[in-house]
Amino acid sequence: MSATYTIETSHLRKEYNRKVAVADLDLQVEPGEVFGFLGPNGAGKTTSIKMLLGLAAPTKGEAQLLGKPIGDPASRARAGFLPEHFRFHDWLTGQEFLHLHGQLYGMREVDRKQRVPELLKRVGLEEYAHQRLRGYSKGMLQRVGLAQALLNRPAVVFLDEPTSGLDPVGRILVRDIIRELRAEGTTVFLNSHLLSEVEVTCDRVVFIKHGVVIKTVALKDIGQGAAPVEIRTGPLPSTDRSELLNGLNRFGHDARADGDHFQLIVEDRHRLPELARWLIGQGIDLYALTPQHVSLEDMFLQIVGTDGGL
Amino acid sequence: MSIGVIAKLTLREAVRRKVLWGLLILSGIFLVLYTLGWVFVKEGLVKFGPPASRAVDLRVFYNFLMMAGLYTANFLIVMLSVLISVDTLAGEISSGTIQSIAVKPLGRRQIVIGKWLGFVVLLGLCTLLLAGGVMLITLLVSGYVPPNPLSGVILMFLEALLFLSATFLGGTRLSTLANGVLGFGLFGLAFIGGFIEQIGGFAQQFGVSSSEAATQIGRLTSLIMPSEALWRRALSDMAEGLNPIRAMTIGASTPDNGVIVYAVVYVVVLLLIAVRSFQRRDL
Ligand SMILES: Nc1ncnc2c1ncn2[C@@H]1O[C@H](COP(=O)(O)OP(=O)(O)OP(=O)(O)O)[C@@H](O)[C@H]1O
Ligand SMILES: [Mg+2]
Repeated sequence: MSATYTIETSHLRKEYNRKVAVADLDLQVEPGEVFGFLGPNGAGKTTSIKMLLGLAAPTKGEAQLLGKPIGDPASRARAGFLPEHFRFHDWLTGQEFLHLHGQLYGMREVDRKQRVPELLKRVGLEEYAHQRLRGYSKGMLQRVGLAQALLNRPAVVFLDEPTSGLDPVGRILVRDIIRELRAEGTTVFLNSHLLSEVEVTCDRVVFIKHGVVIKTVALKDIGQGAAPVEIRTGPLPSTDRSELLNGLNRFGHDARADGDHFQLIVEDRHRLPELARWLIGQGIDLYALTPQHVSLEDMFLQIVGTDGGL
Repeated sequence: MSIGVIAKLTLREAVRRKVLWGLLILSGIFLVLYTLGWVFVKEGLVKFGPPASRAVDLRVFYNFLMMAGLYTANFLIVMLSVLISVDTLAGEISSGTIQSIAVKPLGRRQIVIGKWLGFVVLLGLCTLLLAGGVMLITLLVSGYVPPNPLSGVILMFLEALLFLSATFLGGTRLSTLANGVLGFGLFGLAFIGGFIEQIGGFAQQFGVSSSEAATQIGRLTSLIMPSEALWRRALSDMAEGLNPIRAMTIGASTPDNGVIVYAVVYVVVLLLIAVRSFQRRDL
């Protein structure tokens, strides 16, 4: 394996008493990338993160984090982690909690004294710095957990559903923090079911199911490539409908007539002008040729399936 | 370095979660009751004269009273060593608080040993307070100092560490409840094993030959949990030269230095197995 990737796994597998949690995971995450790790419940997302961070030992396969084999504490010194079930020592105050975790990262007191208040402020918990975590609400705990994950200015941050407990303001906060991290060149490994957020924050996403990568999508490509198109026309000339559908299918697939309009999935958006010219060339009055927006959610359903996912 | 952070965290938790106060209050109540006991006995002595006049060495009498206090103190220390440590690994694993700790660049060994050291300090405090308290009260009320008091206290402390290491090992794999059952189960086992061995010892003194089996059972249980053997050794050390007490409480067999060595090895080895087991555990 090369050291050019921040995260690299090869045939990573985890079984819990013969129950397969992650089957065969191959991933490469580039430095500085905001990487979305998507999949249905029980797909093995959390388990994969646990393996990468040395919390769970892989049954098979290999993986590297920041160029070192997983399990090496040296690479964890440069990683941050917000667990899915954020449970912390609730008898500590927010400030004590962050100092403790800073100490565990080996941060010096001067650094901590600067970093802890800064982060408490960043996640909006300044006022609660001296309150015990026991008195924190779910969202407040998640915020302080997020601050904890950023203490050491990590090179890579693992966020396992970082917004599951947050209000809309908190979600925007997380979005902004992820953007800042990206601007600083930090790699972000994001696990989330809130696809609209993933769509606006991530550079690239992979979909996994049963612990196998089933699709990788670069989000800048999401407006490219195949897309469903709606075509509205005036009354058709003598041309035969089925002939028209056959003609449309040359630009993509699944062409069908739907009342006074047609649906088609074009294989590539770059062919839309060509399609328009062809339609007009057929003597058809073209009123509308509208590519439909494919959201990540549509993609998720399409890729993962709607059979309950599990 | 990280070991120190974890050890301090453990102590801070004991303070914050009022475990320390619990220990202090319990010890306080026990010592007050013990003092009251002594005061009543003292009054009796003044009124009716020392039992020495009735053919008992006064030192034997004092020693007996002190041993009664130490026996209870010993029981409390052992109970506390299981109680305060039973949840520390098991609970943090099941709640998930351990996750954000274990991903830090410290090894899991540091986590286990740091926590263990934190509890060693707490139990040291407990032992000093309870066993030391009994001795101090005895001294203040009667002026009596037993032979080898220091060795007695150290052995009782070592006994607490046996249970500490055992519950640490259990905590890496078991739920809090199951771990508690294990800890107190070991205590019960050692107690009964020691009892059987003692009966065997007595029987032998009276020439009953079939008591060999009883002695064997005792030996076996003290391999599994040598706490009772340590306690008898502590007793024997602190009643040196006072044959009536030794004979009464120890039966025939006085554990030799081998038991102490075995106990130290036991504490260290169980702790190392606990480290190993925790390192291999999925969190
Ligand atoms: N400690 C464990 N023991 C046994 N099975 C486990 C354990 N942890 C996870 N699993 C199983 O492994 C599979 C993957 O779980 P995982 O938590 O990784 O899913 P996930 O993708 O994070 O799901 P979610 O979206 O619900 O968080 C599940 O089927 C789960 O039941
Ligand atoms: Mg999960």
